[in-house]
Amino acid sequence: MVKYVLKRIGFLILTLFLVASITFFLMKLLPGTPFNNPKIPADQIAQLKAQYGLDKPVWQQYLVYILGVAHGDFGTSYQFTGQTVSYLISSRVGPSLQLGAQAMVVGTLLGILLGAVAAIRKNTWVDSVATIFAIIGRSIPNFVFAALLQYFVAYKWGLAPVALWEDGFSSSVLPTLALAMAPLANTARFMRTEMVDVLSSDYIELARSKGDSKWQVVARHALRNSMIPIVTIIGPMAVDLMVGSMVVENIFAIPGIGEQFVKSITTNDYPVIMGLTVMYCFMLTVVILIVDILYGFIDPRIRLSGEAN
Amino acid sequence: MADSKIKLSPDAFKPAHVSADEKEKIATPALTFTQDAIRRLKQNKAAIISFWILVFIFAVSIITLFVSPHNPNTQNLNYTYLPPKWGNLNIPFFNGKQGGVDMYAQNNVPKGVYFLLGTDYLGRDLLSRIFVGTRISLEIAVIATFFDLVIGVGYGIISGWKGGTTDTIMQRVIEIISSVPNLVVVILMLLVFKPGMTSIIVAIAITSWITMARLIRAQTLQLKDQEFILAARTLGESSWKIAIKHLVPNLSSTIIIQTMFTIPTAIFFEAFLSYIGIGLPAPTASLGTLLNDGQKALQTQPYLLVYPAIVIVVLMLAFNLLADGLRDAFDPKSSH
Repeated sequence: MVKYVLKRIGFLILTLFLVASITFFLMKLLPGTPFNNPKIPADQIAQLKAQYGLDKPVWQQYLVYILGVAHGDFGTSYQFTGQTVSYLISSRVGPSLQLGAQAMVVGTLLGILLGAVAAIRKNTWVDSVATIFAIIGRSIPNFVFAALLQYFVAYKWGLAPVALWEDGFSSSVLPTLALAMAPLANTARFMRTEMVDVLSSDYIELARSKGDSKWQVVARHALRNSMIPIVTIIGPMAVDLMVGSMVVENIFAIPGIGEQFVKSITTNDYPVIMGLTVMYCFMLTVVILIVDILYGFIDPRIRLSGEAN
Repeated sequence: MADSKIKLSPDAFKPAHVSADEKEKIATPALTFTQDAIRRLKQNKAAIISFWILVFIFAVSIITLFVSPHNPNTQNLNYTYLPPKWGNLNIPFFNGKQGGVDMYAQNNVPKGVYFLLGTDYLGRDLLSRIFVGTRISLEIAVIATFFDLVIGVGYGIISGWKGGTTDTIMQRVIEIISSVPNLVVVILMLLVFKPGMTSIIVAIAITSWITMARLIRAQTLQLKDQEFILAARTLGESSWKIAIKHLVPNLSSTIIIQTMFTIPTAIFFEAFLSYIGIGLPAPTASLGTLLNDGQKALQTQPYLLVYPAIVIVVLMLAFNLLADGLRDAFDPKSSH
């Protein structure tokens, strides 16, 4: 187990190194420079380039960059003078993490509930409604859903703040809902399939013949066992949330890293783009690693079958 | 009993003469796997309706290449923000009135000029722009399918078939690509190439086939050890022939199902990129740019968001439902 984890961590570092390198060279291929305003005189551009180390040969810039990344230093933002990328990211990661965590909790819990109810009442109207709900949730792009929530719930009915991150928890409600839609729909779909499988298995038959009521069977046996595979979709869910945060934070004007990423792209702020790309990959690979390790702990059958092989 | 009086001569009991051929005859025609799947698909109403909706959308997109109610890119500042109007029909939301005021009369729009779904902030006809946007989404769907089939299936088969070091390296490459969120790859590509159709296509070419390649590899590994492949190998078939004659047909259901799941993702990608302003450049209408424009005017002209939103949701819904239907039809074990 320790060997496996070490191997995975080694591979994680290799992946991040490759991603950082590829991003760096892609950025160097870019046509524009951040100082392409024609009004800036040539000598000032040269000075700016020297200040940001852009006058050195590419391989030197690369070495400086990679060594910096290894120490958590992603350079200085072009967009906000004098701010380091690390500071920019760390000061903005809070709202994004809070939103992401809330959306994940709301999405998975409601999704599990919806999927379980659909499976228990399989082939009834409850099942149809739940399935339709899940499919619609999968089909509405999150930015459309976010815009509609903002228009109806916040603007028309005034039930929540329209935007910004100033009223504490209440300003996080609508963005959380908008983000939670995709994980909710996916979890519900997954949960239903799993639960239907579990409900037709032998140990459920046994529990029933023992005389447990339907709800006892569900609560004690079926629910737990069908929830195990949900762990595997946490990885893809994290991706969904990262992608979703870019638009949802934009629509609700939330100072998070998703909004920062989009803003940096439109202003050619390379250091921030590179820093956030590496950051996103880091978060994603760590989530996937944790999920893989957790999976072995949660479901002993997997470890056993692994050892048997 | 009257019956007991009937005398039957032994001649009445002769062995029926059935030829061996007739015994072996199967009354109903044998269904091939595909026919069976299509039969199952036809029972799924949602999937069939979705299929016909998609056919309709495809047809409309092709027809509107030649006939369009207005030019989608013509700006007319006299006609800005006109609400939807259907001729002289007085249907709520479609009578050219906003807040009780006839906007067409107020802007001195000549009689006989109507915008079925209204106009945007530059006086461009929303309906014509929706047609263009839908066509772009469908183009993206076709392109994503192409890459899924060519790169995804090819990569998966080679990786699974070759095995060994080739497989290890190919799998590591996939792991690296998939550890970067798709959208980050797409956005990096868009930065290197200029925003536009080409860069979106390159971005899709890089990211869209990963899941397909993984599924195909896993299945190829299973198929590889089966007797019919062994037989083909023993008979001296080349790897190419085995791949095309034996592997692809056996992988076909996975291929069809996965392609159908790639399409909505690709459509979402394009809309998403155009929405955040790094997809297709203005003035080209895409569902994403229309939604972005609509969101800006949401508080005064909600119809500008609502109609493109309906189109993209219907499109995604239809592809998703058809994909679900195809999965149930081709792989009945998976869901029931």
